[in-house]
Amino acid sequence: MDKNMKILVVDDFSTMRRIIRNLLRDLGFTNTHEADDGNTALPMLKGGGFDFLITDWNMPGMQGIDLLRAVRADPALRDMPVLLVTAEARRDQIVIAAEAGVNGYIVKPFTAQTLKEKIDKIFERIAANTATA
Amino acid sequence: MNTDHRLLLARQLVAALESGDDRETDRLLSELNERHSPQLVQQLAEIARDVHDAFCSLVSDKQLLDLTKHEIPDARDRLSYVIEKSEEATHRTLTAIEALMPLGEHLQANGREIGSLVQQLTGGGEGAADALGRQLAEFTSTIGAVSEQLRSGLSEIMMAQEYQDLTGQVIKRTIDLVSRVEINLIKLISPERLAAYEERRAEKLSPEVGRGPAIRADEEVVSQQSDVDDLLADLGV
Repeated sequence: MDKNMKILVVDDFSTMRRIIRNLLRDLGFTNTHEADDGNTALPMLKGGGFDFLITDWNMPGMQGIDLLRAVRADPALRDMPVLLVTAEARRDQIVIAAEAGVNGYIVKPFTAQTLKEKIDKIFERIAANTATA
Repeated sequence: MNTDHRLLLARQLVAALESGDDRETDRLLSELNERHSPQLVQQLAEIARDVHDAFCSLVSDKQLLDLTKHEIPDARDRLSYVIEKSEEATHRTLTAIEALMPLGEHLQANGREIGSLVQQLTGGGEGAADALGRQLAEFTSTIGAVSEQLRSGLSEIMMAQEYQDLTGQVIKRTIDLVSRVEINLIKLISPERLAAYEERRAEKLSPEVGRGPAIRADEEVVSQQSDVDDLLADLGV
């Protein structure tokens, strides 16, 4: 896993963005950027260079689930791994996220260990898929 | 009602309108309506009565008037205050933590350095004793400063939690206000309408719309991360 990969953290609460970026820094990821909802995030993603998207679900403007769909619908972004970190914990919502093509789903409140595990798992899978492809 | 009769009523209605006879106009309109859909008219009448009663008691109920006029806008401000205070506290805490973390790393690096010098010393390495002495001297001088920074950082984190006392009180008052409004509103609404409202409310909301943290355990809600993981694994993610 490339520790210099460019990560976009999307959450409407500045405190949550700060917490996630701090946790990522502890895990060795320093190339992190932030946006406060899907409408701000999408142009940044389209601007290019991002390797990984971590987003909240419930945000004003464009919600995380719609951002995920927009990413999957864009030929230039469709392969980007996406991790949802959200307080939305209904089973039907998790199913919807899976159908929309999410790579990982973390329910808030969460621990640093959970974040690490999910990121590791996402990139292990990508590495395995690239190896077999 | 046959067409002829309706036509007759319609003609009479036009005549009543033209002659400006309001009472006759109303009578004919209600006859036409009633024959057309007695149930609808009855329902409309019920709603009108409800609204009328509600309006009358609203005007006479000074308590409810006060609630809507003053206390609800006040509650909005209070809740904004809660958001503001808790956000401020979180940033204060995060700032302190960001300042403390490198200190820990610094101490760890120092410890490693000393450890390796001690190893060299026991291995009889040349000049290791001097180097260890220098390192220990530096360590003891920094440890005082680091301890002071740790103490002030931790106390800052502690003080940042004071918001909870303030926001807790504000939230309690707001909950109290909401229940008073609820009780007053329920008093205004007829039991039938309330039952219909409850029924509509029970209808499922779209899962697309985010609902925020689950505050109550529920079959539909996962209770821990491992449940999410299991569900996703079932779905092949």
